[in-house]
Amino acid sequence: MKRRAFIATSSAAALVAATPAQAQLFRGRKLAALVERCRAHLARSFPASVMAQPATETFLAAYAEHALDRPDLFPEDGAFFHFLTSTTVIAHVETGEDLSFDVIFDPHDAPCSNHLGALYAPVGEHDA
Amino acid sequence: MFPTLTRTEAQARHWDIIIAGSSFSAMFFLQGLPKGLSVLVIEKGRHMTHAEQIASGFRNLEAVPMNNRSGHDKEWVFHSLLGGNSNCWWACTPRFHPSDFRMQSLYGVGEDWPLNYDDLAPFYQEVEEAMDVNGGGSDHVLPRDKPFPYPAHLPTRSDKVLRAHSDLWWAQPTARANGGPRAQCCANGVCDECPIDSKYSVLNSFDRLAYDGAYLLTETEVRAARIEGGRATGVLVRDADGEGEISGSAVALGTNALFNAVILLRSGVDHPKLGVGINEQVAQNVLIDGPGLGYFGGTSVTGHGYALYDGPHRANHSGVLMETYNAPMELRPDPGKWTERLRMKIIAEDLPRDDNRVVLDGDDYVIEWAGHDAYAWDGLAWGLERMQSILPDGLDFWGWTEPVKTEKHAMGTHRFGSDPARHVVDPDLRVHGVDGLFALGSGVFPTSSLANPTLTLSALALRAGRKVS
Repeated sequence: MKRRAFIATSSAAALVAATPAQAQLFRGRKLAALVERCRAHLARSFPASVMAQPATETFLAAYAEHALDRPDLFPEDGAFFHFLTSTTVIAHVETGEDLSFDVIFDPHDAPCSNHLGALYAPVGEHDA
Repeated sequence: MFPTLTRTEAQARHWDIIIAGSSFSAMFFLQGLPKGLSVLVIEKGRHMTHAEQIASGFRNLEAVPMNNRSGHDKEWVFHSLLGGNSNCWWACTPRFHPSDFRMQSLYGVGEDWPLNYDDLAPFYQEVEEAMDVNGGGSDHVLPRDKPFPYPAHLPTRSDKVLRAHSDLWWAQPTARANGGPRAQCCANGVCDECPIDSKYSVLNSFDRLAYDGAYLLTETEVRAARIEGGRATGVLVRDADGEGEISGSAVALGTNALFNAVILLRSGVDHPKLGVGINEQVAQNVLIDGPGLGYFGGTSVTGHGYALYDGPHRANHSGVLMETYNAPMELRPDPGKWTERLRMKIIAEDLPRDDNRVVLDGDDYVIEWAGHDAYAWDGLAWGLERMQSILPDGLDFWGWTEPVKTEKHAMGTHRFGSDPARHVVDPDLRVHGVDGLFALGSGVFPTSSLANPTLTLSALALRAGRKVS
């Protein structure tokens, strides 16, 4: 117990004392790990051709930044939700449109970027 | 924006009409008044701009004291700020069904309204135009003399599937903009705090609500109407500096179903039905899976389903109104079926019960809540059971949620009708037995309907204003 307490205490001290460069390094590692977790999660639902798209990589990196400091999120579930609402993945799969990503949909911060709304409907969706 | 006054300035004048509250019923009553009157609008809350509301998330939600003996979680939602609940509604604006006004005659349930659909139709139209309502496809059930001011929002894939199956599915009429001066709705799913100010609110429509001779007094609560010799002669108010009186020749209560009743009780209006029968609709969310479902609609709530709304079943239990959602959306992890899930809300009407009531508790008040009537619960259960039979083949339940804690539609606390012995308010929304005292809003509804009440309470208030000579 004493040894564990010593390790915990010294780890906390090291964290407090981390230089900006070290903090950046820790953050980078956490981001990379989060990207991998979300990528694996998305890969269960989306085909390899979608996962290989550059826009998917861009999305994953942006989403990890979005989710990293939000402990209230379930990040993998959030990645799934935001991949569908923030990219043109449905149009890409259904009509072959380019898979694109611009911004993480957030009803408050980016209120008109819901890609499951009419503004981003696949080509021909609302033709009479 | 109306010119504002301090309480001292307001007290220095005698007003033709004093209006308590600044949300829908208050503002549409004002719109109906003849020109040339001096009008004081008194709002309990303060003026928070739309930007302030979005930044802070604060809209002064009232804490409602309640003795809840129902066995179910229950909430009531009232926001005290300039514009009231118009800041926080979802802007759903259906008319009531013609049968909603004749529940006793048709089904032996509740009480008939003292007016009917046709009586209210021209006022519905005026309010729809004032709110830039959009809609379409419902005329065969909810008849109208003129088209909707704006065309319906684009449907979702789910709506297309449902509408191809039956003509009892159509676009939900809404004041979430699809044309007109406000920003186009973009389906973000947070209508109660619309970040782009697309839905109609009192705050974003002040220019169109302007009335020469109307002034505004905020952060001042109307505690009671002053009644002398059988007529209203002013109001008793309270603000941060204390209490006082303001004189007027008439008083219109346009707060909400709860506070209107509390004010009338404090005013000494002695009626056995005052405060009795508070009720609201009860609702439940249902998730449906199946091929062809999906999103890409033009607003957050896109559709209405009336297949289970009206009919002989209403003699025994409520029907259900069905709402289809575009956002917030429900998604599936199954490859290729990501959006093949529909979130639908089913809504049942409640009936007023004598053991649900608002009573004074010293200087304050409390809601004695025994629960929704069995008529509503049985209707919800029936709706869940029957839904499967009216859905297209291939669609199936995936799950449903607990009933929601509130529809934010309190009503029935000062019901209207012609009989002073049974009704608190007359057909023109004047309190029986008190000259010059109006009680507006959904508190007058004898029965609740299944549909959202705002358009109806606004039309009634506009009509009541027009009756003032």
